[in-house]
Amino acid sequence: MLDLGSTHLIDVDLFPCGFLTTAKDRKIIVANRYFEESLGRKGLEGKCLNELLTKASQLFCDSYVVPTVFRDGRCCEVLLTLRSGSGHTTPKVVNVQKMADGGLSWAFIEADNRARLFKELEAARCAVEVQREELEQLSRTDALTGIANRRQFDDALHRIFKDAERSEQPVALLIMDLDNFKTINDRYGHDVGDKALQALAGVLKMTARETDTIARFGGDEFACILPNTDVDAANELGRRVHKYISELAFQCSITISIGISTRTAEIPIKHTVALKRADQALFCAKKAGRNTTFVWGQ
Amino acid sequence: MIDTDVRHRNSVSVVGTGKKTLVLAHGFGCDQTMWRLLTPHFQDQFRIVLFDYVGSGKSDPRAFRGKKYSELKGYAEDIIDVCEALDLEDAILVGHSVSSMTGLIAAIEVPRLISKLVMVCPSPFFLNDPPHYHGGFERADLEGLIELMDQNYIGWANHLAPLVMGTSGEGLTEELVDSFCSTDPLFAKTFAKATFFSDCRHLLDKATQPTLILQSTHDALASVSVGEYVHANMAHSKLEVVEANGHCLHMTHPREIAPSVINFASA
Repeated sequence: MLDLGSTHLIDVDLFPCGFLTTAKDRKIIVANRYFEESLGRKGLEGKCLNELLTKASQLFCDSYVVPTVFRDGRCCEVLLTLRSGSGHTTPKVVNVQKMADGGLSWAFIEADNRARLFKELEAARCAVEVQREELEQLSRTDALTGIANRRQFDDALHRIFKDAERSEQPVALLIMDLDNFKTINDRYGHDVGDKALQALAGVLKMTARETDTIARFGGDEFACILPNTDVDAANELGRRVHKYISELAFQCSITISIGISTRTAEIPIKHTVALKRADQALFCAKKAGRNTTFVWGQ
Repeated sequence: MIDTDVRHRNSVSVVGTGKKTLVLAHGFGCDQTMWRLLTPHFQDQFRIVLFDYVGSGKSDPRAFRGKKYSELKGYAEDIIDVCEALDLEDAILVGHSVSSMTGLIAAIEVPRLISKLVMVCPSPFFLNDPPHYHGGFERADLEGLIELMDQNYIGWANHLAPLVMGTSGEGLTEELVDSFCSTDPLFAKTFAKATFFSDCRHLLDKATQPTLILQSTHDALASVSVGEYVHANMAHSKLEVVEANGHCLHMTHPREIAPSVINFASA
């Protein structure tokens, strides 16, 4: 019984909150009756508090609660799970404070509803996170071909050129489009045009390395960014793309034109310049009769 | 990945001088500062590489990728990246707790980088798998731990202390009271899940590197029998059991384990 003056007395045993004092090693010195009754346990004095905690709560006490109490003097509003006498688990909100003699005083309050609420909130948070990731992926993917869209391409181009600035490794950029795409659409219909775009994306996926970025850049324009790749290797990739396109069993003949530009340690151009140069090379390929590859400056 | 990027990304620091290089890999809930009591014993004889995994310590949080770091392989890639960024070959990898396993994965993936392994309080699998393996925990125990991390996420990840405590509930010395690591709750939870639910037992016999296993006699997370299991499954391994309380021998018993590590690394 606590004496708070002449008229107010509090019966700690019956106060609707579990009180506990322990030594530094968590041996229980005193437990109030409410705590023992709420757990359905008796004779707790002398036992280790760890016996009342789930294994998870013991680990949590070790790595967070007790070190925090030793450092800050107290640790408040922690949710721990206790084991009742009948073997059930019961969540409690816990405040712990260091006492003058180095021991610890603990207060335990019921937290069943709060624990349920946390679970619901966590489930909702996880669902939102999954949706956010899905939406982000969608916003960076071309819906028709499933490869990167312009937004992802721009990010990758910027990043890869920045890396190349530091590493001084060459980067190659290929820009390509389907020859006479408008004619395919007009003659065979847009569904066939779409299939031609998908076929080209399929060839690029098959040809590119994992570290390369392939993207649908515009209507029928595609791009490949090839890190650590010199002009010869880029040309070789272009040659293989032409070859695979020519081997496609497609309902009409499709060919592509490719423009290539490169950034090297000796010619350290910016990504915007590389883009312009690849575009100019593509224009040259078109002018030269299509179904071919041009390298800027060659 | 570019050298300078990895150095920044993993907050790599290099101390000491010597022909041989020790790479020290911290465990869950820690960062490279946890090695501070051990490094003075090594720095006159070895070059010491310290780093933080992405999501821990002073690593670059922008490099965190949930999917990559939800598996131990992702953390092993950090080790490989750090070794490659520093052009290391034949380094001796000292891994605490889960880093014994991420180090093992790295050693199997790129053997030329790592010539020897030192495992401080390793556990290849924290769950019990009766009748032959006793990892120490039931699945519900560890799922409960993840749940507690969620429920206490405000506060917890900012004041995470290494799991120094042993089986008796004692062991946190005053010196280590300030050994808190502050981390992002999402990163810490991702690391916790990868740590506590990965099963690396099948990898133990895949590494050919000589391995020193240091196990504590009273460790709530990895018992002596777990150390014996690791030893039995690694052909070129040596087990030393240290009379100690807790899971952080490098912090609680640096003087005791330093000579063993030095002898093993120098041989």
